[in-house]
Amino acid sequence: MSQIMEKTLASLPKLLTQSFSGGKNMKPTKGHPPSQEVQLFMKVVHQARSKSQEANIVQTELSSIQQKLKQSDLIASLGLVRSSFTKIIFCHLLNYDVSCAAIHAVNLAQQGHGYEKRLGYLLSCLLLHPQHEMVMLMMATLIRDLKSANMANNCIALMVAGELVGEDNVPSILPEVIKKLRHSHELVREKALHCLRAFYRSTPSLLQPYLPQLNTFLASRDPGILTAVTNLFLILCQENAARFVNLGPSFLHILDQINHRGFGTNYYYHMVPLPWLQVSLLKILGCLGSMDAALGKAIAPLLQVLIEKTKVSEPISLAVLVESVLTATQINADEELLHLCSRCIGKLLSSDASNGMKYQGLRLLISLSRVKPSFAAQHQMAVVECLMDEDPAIQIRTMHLLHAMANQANVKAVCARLLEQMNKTVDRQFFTEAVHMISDLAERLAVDIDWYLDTYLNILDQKLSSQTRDDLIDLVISRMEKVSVDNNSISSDSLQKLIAALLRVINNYDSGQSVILLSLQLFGVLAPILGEAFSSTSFLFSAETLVSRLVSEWQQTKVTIIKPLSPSCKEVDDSHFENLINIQCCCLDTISKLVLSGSLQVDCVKEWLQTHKCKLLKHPSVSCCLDELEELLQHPEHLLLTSQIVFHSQKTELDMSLSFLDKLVVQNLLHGGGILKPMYIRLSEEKASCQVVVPTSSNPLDFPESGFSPLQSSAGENGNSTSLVSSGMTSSSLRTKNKWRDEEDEDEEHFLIVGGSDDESQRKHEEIAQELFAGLGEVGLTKVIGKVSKHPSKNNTKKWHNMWDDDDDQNHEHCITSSLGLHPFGICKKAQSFSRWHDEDVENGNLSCSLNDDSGLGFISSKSETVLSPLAPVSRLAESPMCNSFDSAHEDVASDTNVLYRSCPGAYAESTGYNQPVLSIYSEGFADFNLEKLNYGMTNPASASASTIDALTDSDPEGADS
Amino acid sequence: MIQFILIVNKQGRVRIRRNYHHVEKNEQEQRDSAVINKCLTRTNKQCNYFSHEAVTIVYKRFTNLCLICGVTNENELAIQELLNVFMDCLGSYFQNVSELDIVYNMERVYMILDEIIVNGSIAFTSKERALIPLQLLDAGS
Repeated sequence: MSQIMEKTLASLPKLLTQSFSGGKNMKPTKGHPPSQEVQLFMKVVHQARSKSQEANIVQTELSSIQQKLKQSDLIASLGLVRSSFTKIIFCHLLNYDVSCAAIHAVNLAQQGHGYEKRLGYLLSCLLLHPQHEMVMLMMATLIRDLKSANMANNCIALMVAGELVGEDNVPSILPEVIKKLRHSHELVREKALHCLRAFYRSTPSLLQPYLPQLNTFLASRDPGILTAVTNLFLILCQENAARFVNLGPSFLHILDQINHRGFGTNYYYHMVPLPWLQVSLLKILGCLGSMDAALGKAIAPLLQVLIEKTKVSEPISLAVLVESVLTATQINADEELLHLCSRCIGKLLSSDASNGMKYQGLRLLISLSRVKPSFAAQHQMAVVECLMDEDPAIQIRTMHLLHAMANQANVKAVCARLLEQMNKTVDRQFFTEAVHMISDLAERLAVDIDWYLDTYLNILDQKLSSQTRDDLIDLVISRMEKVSVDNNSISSDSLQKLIAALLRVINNYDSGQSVILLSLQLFGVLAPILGEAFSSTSFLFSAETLVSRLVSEWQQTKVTIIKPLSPSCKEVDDSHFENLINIQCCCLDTISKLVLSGSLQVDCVKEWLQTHKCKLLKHPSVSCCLDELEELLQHPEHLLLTSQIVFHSQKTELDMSLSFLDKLVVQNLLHGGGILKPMYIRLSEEKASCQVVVPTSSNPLDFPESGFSPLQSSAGENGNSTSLVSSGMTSSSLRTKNKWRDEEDEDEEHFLIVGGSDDESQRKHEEIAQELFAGLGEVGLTKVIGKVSKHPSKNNTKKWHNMWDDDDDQNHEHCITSSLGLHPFGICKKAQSFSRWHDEDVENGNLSCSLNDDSGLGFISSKSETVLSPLAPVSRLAESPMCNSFDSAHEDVASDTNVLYRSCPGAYAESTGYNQPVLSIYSEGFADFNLEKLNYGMTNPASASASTIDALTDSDPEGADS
Repeated sequence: MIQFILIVNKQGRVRIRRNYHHVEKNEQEQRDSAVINKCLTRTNKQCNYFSHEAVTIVYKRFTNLCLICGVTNENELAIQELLNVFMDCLGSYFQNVSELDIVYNMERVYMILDEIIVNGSIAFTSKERALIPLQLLDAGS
């Protein structure tokens, strides 16, 4: 027996019994069977025939206990107290309400001694919690027991304090606990450390001044104190590893001591010394080692020893092994150690291993493949076997692994597996996780747009339970929206599928309002692109049911809500009403768009309007939309023209270099006009950390290149052939962070095919393995799919479109410094607002337009249209907290425009002979008109009327006369 | 972090329950019945861990008892062995512990447990140290 142990035991019992000796000499006790009465009570309860009978027995017994405890003196009648408390604990376990006994427990803790005191504290711990009001009553008792000279009382009080003392009461008891850190006995110091850990969890700030004291405990020779202090440091390190890096060598020393038999045999469990302490130490070292490379190097040899010497026979040594491997994957270990880890994992995953070992092996492989994906390929056959395992826990783990090792080459196979698993599972938790995993993979690694949409539609088709349904659909649709709206190369086939899915969502009775709104908006944008290929009348039909359904719902809620007119009810009411208006507006808007695109017959719509007009709400925004639509229907002769302008804009040619204005700009510069920095540069200059290169060129088309060179070069390092025009998907995948993303290393994405298999036995498994492990071979990094080149711009107009989209995206990225963690569900909420803003524009008459009928070329802008047009990625605005400042920054540009147009009435919409409402509809076609161009001194393409240019120069104080 | 620990018998009756994190009564009842059900229906071939909502459940079956532990961010194998060690402690205190011992001495089982797990983290170092406080109390009374 070790010295420490002997010392502990020797000093322990003096307080209570002189003769008692613990350790191996202790007498085995055969328990203390309770009194006959208690046994009888338990028997009766167990034999109760029904739940109600049982409840009856328990209630009568509880009330009689209550009665007896009230009347008698707790200390005088020990037998009664013990039997009553046993019964109360028994009832508590059966889930009966025994809160009435709490007061007796508190009293007993205060008045009792020895076992009774312990019993009182125990029942208090079971019945109370830190927020419970009765904890206040215990504070005095706790402090008294802490001050007492009795060591046993100290220990109990420290333990209970850790459990029950909450935020409010910590300050009053903390000084006493701190004093106990210097107590002469190890047991008390150990308990005090445990107590401090509990306090740190509830009120970290209060403990900061005492943290430096803790370092001294790392030199202790007592395993109990070491365990307590290590657990405390584990929390500290997980919160702020950098602060404790200097303690790394101490922890390493402790681990070394443990493994060199520095502690007595009493602390061995199945031949492993202090295994739980080792696990905690390894966790801490993993935390610290990831922060400091030097420390990582120092840890590595010890890990190697630990991994090599461990036999995989005992579960507890396996636990230490698993933790060592996990630590090795965290500390940037060298190749050799990682190979050792990989061999270890191979053993765990081997087919004759138990399921528990496989589970652990998969866990390790997940963290190893994060460090180096190619290691996963070494175990492909084992992983495929795990995939086929009957245990759902193993299957789910394997899914996590597949997610972790997905790359562009195998993403399709991985997603197919995930979908398959998703169909099979009944576990709600996993289902939600799977949706997130798939959507993350699809967004991050999608190789072609058709597959991407297909995947999402598959998710949408799943039978979702109503609770998670709305959230998931919300997520899925907003993701689809981002891609489909950004992208112009979707095949009409998948677009048709997408629209059909949207219609299904709209028609589904269970869909939440926000989901309906979102799908309506998306529908409105996408359906016109398809034109006649899609039977738009079906939309009229669903719009009809939607409108009538919502109105009836609305009336129902109105009836129920009118009675209790509390303010909160009214708020609910208001938001509901607002949603209704939004949906109705959106419906009408979409119909207008369909009419414009020619996919809806005017007569049809007229008829529909007549029958359903009465169901629409009397609200300014709704009637505005209605007016728009009616106006449009009354001038069917314009439809042909407008549809040309809006939806076949590729037939028009725009001078995108705006060369016709070069002269003007040069003149302006010659007259001393300063170079105007585009909005995004001004913004990013404010964020000094972004360090965006400021473009100096006066050519408006130069700035995207020069302005974003930092981003491009970093993309180039990754081997990504980013060109100026990259699709929205690339940037959005960089920008959007979700819970899966954070763990991934960007570089991992760019590995490509070379998977090999070496086993001939099972061809099927091999095939699966080949599919799943594509791109994880050692060769890696062969080719990178430039998403850009996949969607070549069809013509000038498209390029224009993309370019500005991209600008904004990248702009955001720089401003946010891409460090924002975005909630996957947070994306679409604000997106809904765009239609409302759009309506406001119409009402406020902010719309401005100049149109040249001859060439069929339109150039339209409105104040917020530039920012919020539906063809631009709607989510762009909604995604970041930056949108506010971004918005306001746009505002001053916009106000410039207003000045500009105020001075040139000729350019107003009226001159074109079109009505404002109509214009607002097709102005959306020109989503990406960018106001920043105005700041360069340019407003219109070549065909713009001379009056506009006059107006421009007039409004620009430094501008030259033309 | 250990969230809760349960001892149940083969029939699913709860013998010991300790929460290290306050949960409302209804929530706890739901959680317990779901977890116990899952644990008792798993076959011997399946592994001793699975995830239930946000926690990982580690369980260990003995002849007619089952120890169940809900953890977050813990080494499952270490927890599984901790359950083993807890049973060992009970075994040496009661001399071949039976279900009846636990039912009749719930308080003592709780007291032993409190020496092994403190505020949701593992405080176990050796069997003797876990048992001494209770033995002292027994001797004193």
